[in-house]
Amino acid sequence: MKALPRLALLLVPLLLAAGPARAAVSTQCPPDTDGVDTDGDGNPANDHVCIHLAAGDGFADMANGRLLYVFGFSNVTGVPNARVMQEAMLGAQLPAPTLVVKQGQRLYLTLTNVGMMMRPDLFDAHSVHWHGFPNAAPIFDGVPEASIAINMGASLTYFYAAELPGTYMYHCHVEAAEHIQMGMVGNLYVLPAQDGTEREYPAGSGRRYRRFAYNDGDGSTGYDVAAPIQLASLDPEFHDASLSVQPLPFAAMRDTFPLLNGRGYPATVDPLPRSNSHDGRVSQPVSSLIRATRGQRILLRLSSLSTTEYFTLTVPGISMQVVGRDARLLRGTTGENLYQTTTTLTLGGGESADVILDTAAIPPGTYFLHTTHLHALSNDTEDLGGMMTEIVITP
Amino acid sequence: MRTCDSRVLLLLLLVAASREASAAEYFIQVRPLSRTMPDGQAVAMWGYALDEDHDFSTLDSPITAPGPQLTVPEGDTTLTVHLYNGLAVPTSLVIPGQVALMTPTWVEGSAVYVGQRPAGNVTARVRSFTHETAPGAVGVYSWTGLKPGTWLYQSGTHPAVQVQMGLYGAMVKASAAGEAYPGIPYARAVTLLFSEVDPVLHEAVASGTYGPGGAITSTIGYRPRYFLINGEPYSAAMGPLPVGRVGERILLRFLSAGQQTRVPVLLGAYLSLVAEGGSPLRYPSHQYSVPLPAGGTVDALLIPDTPGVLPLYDRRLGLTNGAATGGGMLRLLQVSP
Amino acid sequence: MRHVSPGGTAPWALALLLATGAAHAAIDGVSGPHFELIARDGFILTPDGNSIHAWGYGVAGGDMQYPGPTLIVNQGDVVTLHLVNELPVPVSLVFPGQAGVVATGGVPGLLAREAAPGGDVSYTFQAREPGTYLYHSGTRPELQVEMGLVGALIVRPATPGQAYAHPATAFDHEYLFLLTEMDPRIHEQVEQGRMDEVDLTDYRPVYWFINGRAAPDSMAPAGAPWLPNQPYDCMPMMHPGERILLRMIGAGRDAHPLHTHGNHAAVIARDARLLESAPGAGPDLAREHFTVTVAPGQTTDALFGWTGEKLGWDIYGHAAGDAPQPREYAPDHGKPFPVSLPNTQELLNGDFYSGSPFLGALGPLPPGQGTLNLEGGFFFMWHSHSEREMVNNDVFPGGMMTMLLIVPHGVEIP
Repeated sequence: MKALPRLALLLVPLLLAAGPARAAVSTQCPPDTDGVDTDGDGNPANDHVCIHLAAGDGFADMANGRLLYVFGFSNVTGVPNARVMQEAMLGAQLPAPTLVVKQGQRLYLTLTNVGMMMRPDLFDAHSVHWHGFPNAAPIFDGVPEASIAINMGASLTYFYAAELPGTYMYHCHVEAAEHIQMGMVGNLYVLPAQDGTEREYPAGSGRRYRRFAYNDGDGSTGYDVAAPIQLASLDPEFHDASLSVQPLPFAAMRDTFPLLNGRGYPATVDPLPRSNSHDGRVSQPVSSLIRATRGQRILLRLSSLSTTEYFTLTVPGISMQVVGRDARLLRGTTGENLYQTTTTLTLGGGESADVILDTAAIPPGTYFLHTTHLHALSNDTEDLGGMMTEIVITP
Repeated sequence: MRTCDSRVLLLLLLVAASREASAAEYFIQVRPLSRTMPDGQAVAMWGYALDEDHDFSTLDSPITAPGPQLTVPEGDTTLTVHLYNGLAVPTSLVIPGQVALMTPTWVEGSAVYVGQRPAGNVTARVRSFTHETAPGAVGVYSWTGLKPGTWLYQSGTHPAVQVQMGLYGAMVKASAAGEAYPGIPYARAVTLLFSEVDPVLHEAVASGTYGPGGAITSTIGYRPRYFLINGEPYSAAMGPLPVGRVGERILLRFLSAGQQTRVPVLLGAYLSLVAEGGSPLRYPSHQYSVPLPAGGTVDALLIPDTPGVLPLYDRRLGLTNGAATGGGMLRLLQVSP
Repeated sequence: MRHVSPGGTAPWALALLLATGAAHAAIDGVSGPHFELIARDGFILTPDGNSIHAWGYGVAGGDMQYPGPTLIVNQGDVVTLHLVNELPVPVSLVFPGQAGVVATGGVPGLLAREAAPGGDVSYTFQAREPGTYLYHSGTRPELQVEMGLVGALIVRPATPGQAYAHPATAFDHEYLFLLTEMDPRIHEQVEQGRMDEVDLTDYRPVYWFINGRAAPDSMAPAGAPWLPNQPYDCMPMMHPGERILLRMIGAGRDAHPLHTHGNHAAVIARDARLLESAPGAGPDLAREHFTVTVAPGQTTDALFGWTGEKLGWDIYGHAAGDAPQPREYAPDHGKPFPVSLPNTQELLNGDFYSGSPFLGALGPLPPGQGTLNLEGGFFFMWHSHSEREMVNNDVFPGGMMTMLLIVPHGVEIP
């Protein structure tokens, strides 16, 4: 870590010493000894997945060059416990690390709160809310009012038995209006058990798939290229108020940075992780550039965690086939196929959708996934930006 | 809204027939126009006009926003539009959801890239989703394998500004004579194209104060004050809109070229929502409300069982002309016996 | 940052302590088919201490209500409404989804016949189809909806305990979620007679309501005397394995993404029409959502259930040999809790947390924490996922939010 502010360095021992003596970074990753092959891969001893996330603050640059103070998560899986605080401080990423779990796996997700380096006056707890988890129990739901959240310098391990595939999302639920606006949002999806089996779709077409959005039974959600894309929008005045310890303008919240995976256009098409201009750390690792060769099917795993607005998306020149909403395959209660082909898809905060783009009949070239709220094709006061990315189809 | 009259349609069909049996062809000019809203506010807009003699030498039809409805005969699978650009900036034409060869244009400083982004470049910004037509030039836009339904056509160039300025219209194609989509017959169709006007942006664009260094540098501050159906806000002077007779299958084609979701609500009857985004719904949805996303289209069948007036109004409550009440996105649908 | 509302956690505490004694499993309202209504002004109270001048409907002889009285009738009823206008402006009623509404008296208006100030008007229609509907003023609706002239209309089918005529719409408890928002500047202009300044194109709401109340008042008991113009609560409660019916209404002008923590909700009807493949098929086109968009002017009915199944651990904390709870998910019976929880001092313990991960259990908590959960219930926050709508002006938490309370079998739901 470089260029850590002096304030932050002073805070490290303070944080480590804060609270009761037992507060410490810890993870839980029990071995899979139940003898049951829950994820169906033939191995009964490999169904546990362990991920360690840190929650704290950091910085991210918007596409017009404006630096924003953010809260966020970072992935510290495998980092020795003794080093987690130092490594994760000011390590917030926008969006949070993408979490991918396979149906049947058991996720032990440890969250360590490394504190807000730039806000030593804050003692905020953090949490993980797996948004849309079926039949959730409050203890792992991350809503601090209804259960628990983790204080600074300590760790909490969440447990999730991933039983239903689909496109979910996750975010911190502490002071939700604030922490989500500040950037504590990420992609999360569960791969279906059907993955790995080969299906031809449409039948007789010769097009075969081994990866699917859902357990569709007929290969109709098969895809070649997956693109998790999360919508968000940020209000720079809110972030500046947070950094400068001013009262937070909830009532005046007005998002002027519409984003895909934490970036505005054209930064969305940068295939590389992006570093911030404050300390050079990677803070926007997720590209939204989509590449496919003609004839491939693209799965858009779309979700929105905008705190203020609905956004509608379109792809001029390519039809969208919606096959899932809110982590459910679009089927009637008797199995009727309810997929819908359309030109626009609208997502409010906390909604997700699975969309297939079939490039078989599409001339090679560059296409654009963008919001039809055309004024949001802006990076604040900068034009030709905002909620847009590119889809490159090669011959 | 002006639709293609039968004389023009006939001509087009003849022209089309002489070249290729399955192609519809339109000649359209892009031009600025000025509108006066019911409260007296003048609004500079951009619009489309049919060029009836196909030579672009004169302006022989009114310039309108939305532009003329492009009706593609049910047997045709190709649409070609010849576009004359009478603006001072480049423009283009896209129909989201229909397949076309797209040749985008990116800009970066004074550099212009056509067709593809230079390798390794992640800083250029797209200006046009497909090939541009320069000021004073004529461009040709073609769609093949045209799908039937209700579609929005609009500028594919700098859409945040150009669509907002008025460069949009409806393109419709029946799947067969008297059939909107396979298995969905109708007796008559009524187009209801919703759009919005933020007069501050229009003024800035018209006066040259929009853009880098100008008074307004992006469209992020969008705040519409006029709410239009088929280019007109409601006003007390407007009579009921005749839509058809009792028992008829009346197809209401809802389109939105605005930038906010609209929710038209019909009082006194239900609608069968039969298609969205130009694709039929597997099962119609029976609703009195029609959520209409920005850039979206919805087809709904009205089969009235009694004569009279059915008010249709935007439940997002865009029902003012500026601050004045009694306007906006409202129509009184007249059902005759 | 801790955005402590005035009085700290006291408002939450007050709300819940009273609510547990007085929550309603049936939707509050007035039964028809004949309704004597008034339109008059009053004040909406918000938990941040604001008092907002508003217009609303009420029952003749009573106060103005926000939202207006929930009108409950039976399928087939000929409904008559007589509206007396005590406001200084004309007012009316429209009923989206009802056909053949006949208005008598009053004066002609744009969308409906209106009652002039001091005047009256009557409407009558037959409630042909069951379901969840809304009503609102058809006079200058962009202003009068904002001012509060909205309400719910419920048409019950012949079979009790069902939302519609089909048995697949049966429910154990039902709750109303009528969503609105307010921009107090408009109300101030109206209150002060500055009507010429009213500009609804400059609309910036800062208050968001469920059934006319902003959180935490949404959880206070129905009819709370300190909320005289906001009589309806929204405190859904259920036992594991039960199904609750959510009657959701977009009565304001914005769409709201209502997120149901705990589980998906199955949307079975929209605009009071079942999502079905053919008449009589029942809701076979129902869709499950973890966030339900409640669009303005639209109504949505959804069924919500919760069992805690497939969590991979026993939500009751049973040992293998313990007797199961009613409707318990058997495969998880006796499975141990999968992780060890940190010391409570390393945790922020919520006011609605029992101190135990198990349903029906209470665990040790530091003094003064978890005080709102006395029965070991599971609380799930239900809220607009446009999170800025979870505030009361600048104060978080509040706004369009309530809690679902799941209580163990044996704990009575009022």
